[in-house]
Formats: sequence, structure tokens, C-alpha cells
Amino acid sequence: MPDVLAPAVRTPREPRNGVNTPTLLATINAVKETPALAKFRFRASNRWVSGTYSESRVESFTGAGGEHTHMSRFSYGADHPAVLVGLDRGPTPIEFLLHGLASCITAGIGNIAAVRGITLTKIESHVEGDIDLRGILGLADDVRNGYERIHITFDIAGDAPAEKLRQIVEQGVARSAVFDVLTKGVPVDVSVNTN
Amino acid sequence: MPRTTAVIVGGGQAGLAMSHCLSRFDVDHVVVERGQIGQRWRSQSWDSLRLLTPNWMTRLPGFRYDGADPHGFMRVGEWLERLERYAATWRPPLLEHTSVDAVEQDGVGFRVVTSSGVWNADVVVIATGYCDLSYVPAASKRLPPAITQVVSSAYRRPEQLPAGGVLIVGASASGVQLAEEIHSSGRAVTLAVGRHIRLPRRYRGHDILWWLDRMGTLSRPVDRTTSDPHRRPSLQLVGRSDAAPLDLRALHKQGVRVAGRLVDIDGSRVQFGDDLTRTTAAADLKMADVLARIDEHIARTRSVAPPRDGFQPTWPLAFNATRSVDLKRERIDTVIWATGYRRAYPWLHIAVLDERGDIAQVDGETRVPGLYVLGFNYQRRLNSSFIDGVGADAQVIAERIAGAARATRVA
Repeated sequence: MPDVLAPAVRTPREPRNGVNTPTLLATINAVKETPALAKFRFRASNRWVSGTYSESRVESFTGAGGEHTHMSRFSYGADHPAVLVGLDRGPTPIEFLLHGLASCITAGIGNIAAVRGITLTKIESHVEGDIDLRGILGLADDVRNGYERIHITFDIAGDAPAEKLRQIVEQGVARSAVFDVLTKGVPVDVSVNTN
Repeated sequence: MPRTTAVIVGGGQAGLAMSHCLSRFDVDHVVVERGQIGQRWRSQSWDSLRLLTPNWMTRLPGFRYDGADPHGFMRVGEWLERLERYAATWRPPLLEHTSVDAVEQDGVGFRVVTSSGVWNADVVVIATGYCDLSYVPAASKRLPPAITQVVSSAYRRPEQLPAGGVLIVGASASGVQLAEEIHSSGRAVTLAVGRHIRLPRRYRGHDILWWLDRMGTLSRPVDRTTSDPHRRPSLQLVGRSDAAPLDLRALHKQGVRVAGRLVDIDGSRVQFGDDLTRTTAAADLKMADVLARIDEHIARTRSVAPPRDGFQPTWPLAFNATRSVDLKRERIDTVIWATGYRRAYPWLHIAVLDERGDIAQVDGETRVPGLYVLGFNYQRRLNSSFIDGVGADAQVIAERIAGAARATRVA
């Protein structure tokens, strides 16, 4: 986090890019003083509806010394497309990963630019993931289940030289939680209740 | 010179509980009370004060709440009536309007000099309580004479205060309640906040103390290695269950100005520390921790309870907190000290005080055999100073006294 902040020291601290920079900086300082504020636990619950369709609810999370309820009860359906024997009532779960990756890096870019005093006019990204479904179909043991490669392209514009904008994107990637989880992996415990 | 086995100094809930337990053991004793039963409740409570514990928790040896509102919070008047009714059940040997002027060692026993005579006793139990004298920081002496200074135990109602703004120092149970009451009387209130313990009044369908009682948290023995009883603030709670929680967030929303710890006074200028983010964050995290333990308890015992209640942290309030005020310029003409209590024992002529002037004790026993204390904060368990906790401590002391008395008779 300090490297996010370092260039900010002499820049004006006003809201920018729709980011409340003063609050962001005050929050970072509070966490610096009381590191336990940084402990968060996010949660979602999912319920199968039928076939390949299920719905996840994202309602609350714990963190920053509070127990927070989202402003509204977010609900997302995921399905398979017809070609994969679903009814296409929502994006596939693995497409949600692409959404997670792009939106995570983008949020970081907006914050970092604000803290560095750069006003952005555009951040657009396009993300693609290549996957060989023989893995999940159980047809080839040497093919992994998940993406073999993900590629993301950013279009960014703002009141800074190209090199600075490029650095901001790099920093956004370097501080992205989703990028981190996707590239480094994370232990996932699975437990099962019956009945 | 009359003699008795035990002299109990103080006729509040602690002294009465002690008397009840000794009576059950048939131990001869007297209770010496400077005023009437529950005198401190009578003389040091503000008008709107209610107990911080729900009515069902008003439990003393041989006494349970039997009223119609177990989940309510009784006013001091109702509490005093119940305390008197409690005493009427065994009629303690009570000397009211009698002050204790000296307690000294006399051979293996004690000499207790009172305003109505001298007693010889084998045992003395000091049950004068924790909230003896209001603690006021030394910096208070530097306030200009035009400022009215009131300690929380002398506060009664907003109308007693001058019409201008009020600075309340201390944000434990008294400080936050006074802040709300005085703010709603139309006076601008600034609240100086130091270390505090935040807790919601209710959580997952029950009073917070119901959960802590059920989990055994309140009756856990005090860990002497980590807790300094004199430095633990009281719970930031208010005795009411029907309204939104009273915490710094609620006060801030109502318009109370929340500042850090009072660090210095220089005439009319009062300075606050930059510690508010830290102290509020610590209180938020501690509360989150307590609530998480309740969640675990619910999961472990498969209890039926509504889902988790959300709660917002209070530390973001500190972002633009006031660091200093000029009392004169802001027309603040009252400072209320809600900064806790200290104790003094000028009548106790036995060297049992620690360097702070408190009676050094472990589980109510002092280093002098036969000299006990009762009703201290964290004297044996977390709830030792609660109405609900003093009885168990009294019982332990009564067993010791009765055991010693029996041994003497046998010998």
C-alpha cells in the first residue's frame, strides 16, 4: 500500500475520478495505525434452481471492525449456454471470473489515479479466457479444467502522459485481489453437510 | 463495648448480599450504613438513570426479579424499593445513619469506631463499592473560574446546567448517556472520548448481556495477568431496549461533536488527542470480536437465533475530529467529568492499600486475615461489581467467615 501512496504526498487531496480521495487516504492511515481493521471476510451463498442454473446472493460482509450489509441484496444467476446443455439464464460461472478480474483491476486503476492526482476520462477493458472443455467433460486427463490462458487489454485515457497511464495500469494489476487469486491460487476448503 | 463476629461497612447491594449470606450461615454481624439502604444510588444518580442490566438480571442471594417487565430496565427508584423489600426478607442488623470513623486492628480482630459506638469484631467486610469518589483529572484546575464543572455523580438533569454548550469528558456508560440527554435539551455537546468499550444493547434477538450471561462470559474469573481492574472502562451501554443503540455513531448523527481524549487545558483552550481513530477502531474490533464469539456460541450450541445484525464501525467518524476548542468563543460554559471513580479510605487504619490508594485484594481477601472487600470492579469475576455478580462473591466470603467462626467455636 505505501507504494500506492508515495506519489500522492504533494498532490491535492480532493475527490477525483469519482473517488473520495480524502476518505481513501484517511482510511489507509487508519489501517496503518490499526492493522486489524484490514481483516475482512466476504461471503456469498448459492442455491441450485435446476439444471445448470443456480443463484448466488451477496448480502453482507465483515470487515473494518464492522458487520456490513450491502445497500441492496445483490443476486446473480449463473447458467450454461444451450450449446453446453443449459438454458442460458445467466453467464457461465467462468465468465463471472472474467468480470471479477476486469472490474477489480479497473477499480484499482481509478483509485490509484485519483491518489496520484490524475484525472481519467476512460478505462475500458476487454478480457478473454481460453479453455479446453475436455477437462471438465472428463475426456482428457492431461487437460486442466480451468482457463489455460487469460488475456486482458486496457484502453485508458486521462490527463497524464502515456507512460504514467501505463504505470497506473501496472500498479492496478499489481494490487488486484482477483489477479492475485487467479495467478497465485488460493487454498479452498470444501466441507459437506448432508440433509 | 459491643462485639460481633462481622462488621459490614456499607448497606448497598453488596453489604446486603453479604448480610444475607452470613445470616444463612448464622453468623452474627452488623451492617453499618452512613445513610439509608443503597445510599449511593440515592445520592449519586441522575434523574433519568436506569440500571444498565435488564430486570431479569437483578439477582441477589435469595432474590430474583418478580416484576412484570423482565426485559426492561428499572429506574433507580424502583431498584431502591426492591432493595428495601429484599432487606425486609431477613431484616439485616442494620445501623443506618451511622458513619464508620475508624477501622483498626485489635489483637487478632478489629475495632470499628462508628458514630454510634465502638464495635469489636473478628471480621470486617468493606462493602463501600467501587464508585466512591468521582475521579477528575488534575487539568481541571486549569479551567477558567467562569466554567461550571460538574462530576457525573452530581449531575441530575440538563436544567441544572447553564444555558450554553457543554463539554463532556469520558464516553463510557455515563458520558454517552449524559451526552444524549444534554444534547436533546438543546445544548451543543462536545464529547471527549478516550478508551472505551462499545457493545450493542441487543444482538441476534436478545439483550447482549443475555448472551454473555448464557455463555458464562460475565462470571469468568478475572485474568490477573492481563487485566488491570482500574484501567478497564465500563461498558458503553444504556438501560433501554426499545430504541436505537447509543454509541458514538448515534450521538454523532444526533449532532454531538465527537473528539479525542482530552489532553490539555490552557485556560479557555481545550486540546484533544489524535487518538480517536485508534480508540474507536479498538472498540469496534473488540465489539466485532465479542459478537463473533456469540455467533460461534450460537453455531456450536445449534441455538435458534435471528441472523447477524449489521453494525457500522465508528472509527470513520474520527477523520475530521476536532483537535481543540476555545470554550469561551464557542460559548461552552459547562464541563462535565464522566471520567470514572476513585476510592479513599481515610477511616481505614490498616496498611492494606496499594500505591494507588486502593485496597489490595485477591478474590476479596486482603493480606490481613479477617479483612475483606466486596463489590469491587473485577475483584474475582468480570461481573463482581454488577448487582448480578456481587452475590456469588459474598457467598465465597461468607463461607470463609463461617468456616473460621466454626473453627474458633470448636477450639
